[in-house]
Amino acid sequence: MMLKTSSNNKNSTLGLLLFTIRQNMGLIILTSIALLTVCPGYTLIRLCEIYENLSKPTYCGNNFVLVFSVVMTIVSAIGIILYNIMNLNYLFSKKASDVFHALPLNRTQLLLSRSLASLGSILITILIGYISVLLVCVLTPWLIVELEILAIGFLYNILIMLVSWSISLLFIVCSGTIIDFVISCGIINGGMLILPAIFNVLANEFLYGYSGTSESAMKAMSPIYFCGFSFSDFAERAFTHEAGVPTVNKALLFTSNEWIMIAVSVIITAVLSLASVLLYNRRKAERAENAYAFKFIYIIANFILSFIVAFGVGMMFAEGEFNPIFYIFGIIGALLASVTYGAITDRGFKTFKKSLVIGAASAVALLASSFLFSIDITGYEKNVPKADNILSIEAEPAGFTTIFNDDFDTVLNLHKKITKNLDDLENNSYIFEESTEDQFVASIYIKYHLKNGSTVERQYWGLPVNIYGEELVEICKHEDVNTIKTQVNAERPKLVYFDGYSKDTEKYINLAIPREEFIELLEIYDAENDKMTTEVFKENYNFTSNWDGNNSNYFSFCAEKGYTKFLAKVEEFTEKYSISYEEEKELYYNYKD
Amino acid sequence: MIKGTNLTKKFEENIALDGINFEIEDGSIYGLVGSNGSGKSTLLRLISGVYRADGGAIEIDGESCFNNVNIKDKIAFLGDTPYFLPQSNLIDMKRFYKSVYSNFSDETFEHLLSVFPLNRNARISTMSKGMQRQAALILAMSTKPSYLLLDEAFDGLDVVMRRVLANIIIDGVERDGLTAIIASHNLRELEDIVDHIALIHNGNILFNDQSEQLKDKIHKIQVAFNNVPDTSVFDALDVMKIERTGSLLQLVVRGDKKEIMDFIKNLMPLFAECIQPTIEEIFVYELEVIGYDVKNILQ
Repeated sequence: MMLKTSSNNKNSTLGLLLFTIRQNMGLIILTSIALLTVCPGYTLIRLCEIYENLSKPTYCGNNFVLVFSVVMTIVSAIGIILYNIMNLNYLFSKKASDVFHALPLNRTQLLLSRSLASLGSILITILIGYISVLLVCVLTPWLIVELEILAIGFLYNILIMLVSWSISLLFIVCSGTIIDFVISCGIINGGMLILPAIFNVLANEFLYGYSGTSESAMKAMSPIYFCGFSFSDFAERAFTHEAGVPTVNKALLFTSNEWIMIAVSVIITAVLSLASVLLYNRRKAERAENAYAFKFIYIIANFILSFIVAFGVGMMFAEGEFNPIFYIFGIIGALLASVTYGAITDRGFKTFKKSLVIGAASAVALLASSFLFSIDITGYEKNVPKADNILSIEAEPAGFTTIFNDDFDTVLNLHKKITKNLDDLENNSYIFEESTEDQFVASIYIKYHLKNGSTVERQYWGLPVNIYGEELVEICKHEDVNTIKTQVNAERPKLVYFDGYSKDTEKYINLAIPREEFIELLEIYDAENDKMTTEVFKENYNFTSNWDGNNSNYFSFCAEKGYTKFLAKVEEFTEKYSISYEEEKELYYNYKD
Repeated sequence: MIKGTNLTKKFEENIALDGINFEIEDGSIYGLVGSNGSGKSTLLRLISGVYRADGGAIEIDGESCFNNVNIKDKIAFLGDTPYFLPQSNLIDMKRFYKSVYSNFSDETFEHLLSVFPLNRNARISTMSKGMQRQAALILAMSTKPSYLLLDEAFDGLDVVMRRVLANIIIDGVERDGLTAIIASHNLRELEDIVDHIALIHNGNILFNDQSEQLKDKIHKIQVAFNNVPDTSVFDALDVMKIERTGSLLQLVVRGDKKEIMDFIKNLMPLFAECIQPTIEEIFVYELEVIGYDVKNILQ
């Protein structure tokens, strides 16, 4: 006798999902109580204490809301991983695997019901947290909060939690035991951060003129770094610098960066969760309690680990030099790391040969990387953009800041001259060399903004002034004084802080110059620009100005003896406006007019 | 009906099932016998959809088992070591199964709970092995399966509980048309309950037949003579084995019982008796004929 065919697929999925959330209820309640103890519990107590000490009738709570969002994001990103481990730990036990895989659900339904239950469980706690913060903000009349910060903080929280959920889901599906999940997830995600840094070191070592950082590569390779970077960027914009008054520019809160964050997070979540489902449908139930459900994870993790260890060991023994000692110990490090990793993973040396092969491959990869960088296979060193493709150029030679919107040949001539003499520059170790009594060197940073929206950056150190001085001076004469003039007129500081060292007089000076007179000083300096010679690179007269400790209004004055009017003005101001270092720090906070 | 065609399953280099073919009719109690590592548990896991076959096909009612929600809803699988959710009691596990099995029956659950003396609120992890097995059986039967797969079902149960379990299975077959597949390395405990039996060894099915037919086919005859004749007189019979102890001969003969006894009576023995061999003895004889040492197979 046949029982009726069941067609309750959706009910089974939903049933298991709800059952799992219910199973997690103890933890949900515990974490929610802990959260409510902190906020509104402890938070209200602290706010009441602040209120009693208020001199003004209101208090800006933007930073409190921001900190709450940051903390909740970190806690929920970690929490979702723990929930996923809890709800999917049947994958790590043969007995449990038999029971769960025998249930009347297909693989996709089984995986999604358990993992979505993790999301549902943690979402309950998150919502409780944000609702409680919202209630505190709304019901406390003297607390002034930009609710947009809370809303966007909540958005980041959800997006980062989703990314964390999908990453952990993928690694759990690929692992056979909890230990291997932790190791593989840690190594591969850590590797996404460390590998760009390693390649950055190689580029700095072998590519003359390389000025990049590993940041963009990290953002591209590591979802964790991308999310963290995006959130910290938002936090910087949302942070209220002045206590007591909400001064956040709302237009800066939700920008194109937020749209990019949404798009990237959604794509990462979708891709990784789809990959998890596809892999899970191929996963063999019998792989529970084995090291890895899929061999490729083991190979990738082992390779990355061996590569990183090879680099680290090589650097350690070669003391930072890329010499034969680096490569010999790098190879040894790679082999040792891969064999050790294989032994830990397989709880023995069954895969000794396979581990050796992977270790050898990573050693070869390190050697190949170094070699490819050293021969500049991409032509990075000799690449000079064509004038027709350039929109504008920023150049910073020897402390100057210059902008070119036309007349690009001034910079291109120097750049081409450098690329023609690369061998000479590299072989004579001018890089990072400091000026001596007989030989003066200068540095220059160049950033091309191209018409296609991209940029090309170069940083050249140790350029002998006797060879490149002429071209450098021509660039320095384009110093951008107008930007700082515009800024000082817009922001209207009462006083501008001016300090520096004069080699001729052997004096440090520390001045607080009134705004109008500072502008006058700028104009005198600008007018004497034509008198510039290569003497300016001797750095006999180096001064800087600033008015609130912010890098955006920092300006440096590079003068030489021929700047007679400028130096005379500085001397005059030294007698009138000198202050001590302590006075300067105190006045930074009250610089506004 | 459950049908396996050229079914193969490998674990790394080890071939657990090597192209086996079988059919299990609905409403039967099917015994799977074999030593440890023979492939019994693997076969059960393939039928229940836990494992995916590496070759061949396994179908239930014409549909593939793996990832088939409708088919799996009709199957209850009990592994050799029952698993329960951490810190759970019977009520928790009932909720778990009820959330996914569409036919879960509270009535059956309550009835079986009255049969097996278990505390529904006690943590299952604190129960003995035998009690845990009872709990697993209660939950499995409560899902009202069409197919009940039991791996080493009687292991850990006392004699009384074994009888109770056997009765539950028989009752399920008779009332609800349940098909039960029981895997065991102990032929004796299956003999009284199964109506079909298969022997698995090293991933191959060596033997597969109905219990009654097996018993009807092979007979053990004890016959005594004054003067024991030469064994060639028995050439007309399909003799599997002859043992002599003094004037007593013990024959294992394949064929019709009446014909065999009539033949022997014509030899004028002092005494002739037909004894029903056990299934285990039948297996021993059959395997010896094809060259297997049964001690290596049924340990």
